[in-house]
Amino acid sequence: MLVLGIESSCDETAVAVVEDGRKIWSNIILSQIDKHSKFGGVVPELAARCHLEVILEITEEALRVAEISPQEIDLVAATYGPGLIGGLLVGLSMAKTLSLAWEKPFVGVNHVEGHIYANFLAHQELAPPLICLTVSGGHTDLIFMPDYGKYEILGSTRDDAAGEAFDKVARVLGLGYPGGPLIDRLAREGTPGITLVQHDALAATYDFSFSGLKTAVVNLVHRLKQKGEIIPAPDLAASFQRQVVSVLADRAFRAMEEKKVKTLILSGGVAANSELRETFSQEATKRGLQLFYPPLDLCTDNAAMIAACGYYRFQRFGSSPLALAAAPRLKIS
Amino acid sequence: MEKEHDDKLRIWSESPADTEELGVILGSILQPGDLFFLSGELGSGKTLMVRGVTAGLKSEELATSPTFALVHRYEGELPLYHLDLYRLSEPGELEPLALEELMEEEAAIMIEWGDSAKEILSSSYMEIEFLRGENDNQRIITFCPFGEHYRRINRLIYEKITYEIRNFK
Repeated sequence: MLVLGIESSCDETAVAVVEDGRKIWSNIILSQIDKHSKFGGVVPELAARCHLEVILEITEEALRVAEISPQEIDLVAATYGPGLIGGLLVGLSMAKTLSLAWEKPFVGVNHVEGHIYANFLAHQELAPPLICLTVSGGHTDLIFMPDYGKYEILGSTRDDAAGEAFDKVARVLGLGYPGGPLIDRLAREGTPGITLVQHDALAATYDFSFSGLKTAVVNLVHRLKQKGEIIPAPDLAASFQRQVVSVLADRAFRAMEEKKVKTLILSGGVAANSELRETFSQEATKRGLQLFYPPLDLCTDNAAMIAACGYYRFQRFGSSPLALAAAPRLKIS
Repeated sequence: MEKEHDDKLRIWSESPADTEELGVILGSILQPGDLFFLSGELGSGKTLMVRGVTAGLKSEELATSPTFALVHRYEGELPLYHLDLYRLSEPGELEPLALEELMEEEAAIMIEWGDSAKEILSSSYMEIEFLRGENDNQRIITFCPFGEHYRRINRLIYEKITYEIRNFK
């Protein structure tokens, strides 16, 4: 079954063609990060406008690269939430229109669920049960997936998302946007010796809190500025990153133990962080667990994962009604 | 805590817990249509106060950062909209958020980084300023009322805090 997937919930306008949820025929991504970077974040209306300008062209490109005609598509899938309403509407309207015009079924996909399926595209042997840690600019969720289409949220962030914390700390350190890769790079030049937060108040739970860590960086920078001292940005970046990664690892590996699951997957843009990958790989090896993470181009938002997820949703639940509304705060279920 | 001659109310929060508790008090007196703007640098406690407000409204879900999604809605004794407009660069980008429509709902609204929205919404609102105090944990939180309704809210908060003063260090 060939699925056309559309993703437009935030920065990226993306269209892909995927076979049976596992094999990528084409995966076209147009990132708007360059247009956004001068604002230090995603500008929603700009995002919606850009999606609208390029989505037709990208859809044609996805079909061209896959070397197929619209008649060969069996299903149209699109992200319907969570995300920015303007962008969601563009992708969703496009998918519904194609579904009507091509007379193919339509299925709406949850963006967070989509990130899980990025791993299924990259690793053919992967199968549930598993635990998935999704870490991105808008989401920080620890999810237990006992079977296809079944999810239990074990923990989420109580304040800032992990990627958001990276963005905001990068802003405080004057690094620019997006913060994740910039901090990752800068951290390699520093040593993680600065204790930013002493006490992990949520240590007994699977929840996350990154706001206190962000504030600790703000406080330290403020104090140094007042004293006219140099801000050790590389050390701060390294220390901040180390502490984010150690909290993420603590929650994930505790959940693996409790759920007696042998497979752990990472997804979302923060899963591209080099220290995160290294720490998780070492810990997984030590514990005899399988760790999967997607290649870089499938970590960040893309439409192949939406097509893959759409395939599995369609197999299990059938098509979605064309009246399906965009849901900016959609939860996984 | 001090009341100023121009009806501003200034509160010294000595910890994140104080800021959140102040939010709980605020949540317990919110009314439909109340409009608050929260200003202050990153990490000054804006979202934390709103988290307290959702607790005060007895919302099942407590507030998290709206930076990514721009708008969050919470269902408590009163619906609450929590917005963060930092990522907007010009007033034209407010349009898709349909703020005027939110204003017509029987809900309270709290907006972070909302300067661009002030003029178009209402001349009557509360501005809450978060300033860094003398040490890392201290914040000086000032409630600046614009309009009689918000001056009354300040008197209510003052009474509530005086009553619960033992809970404040």
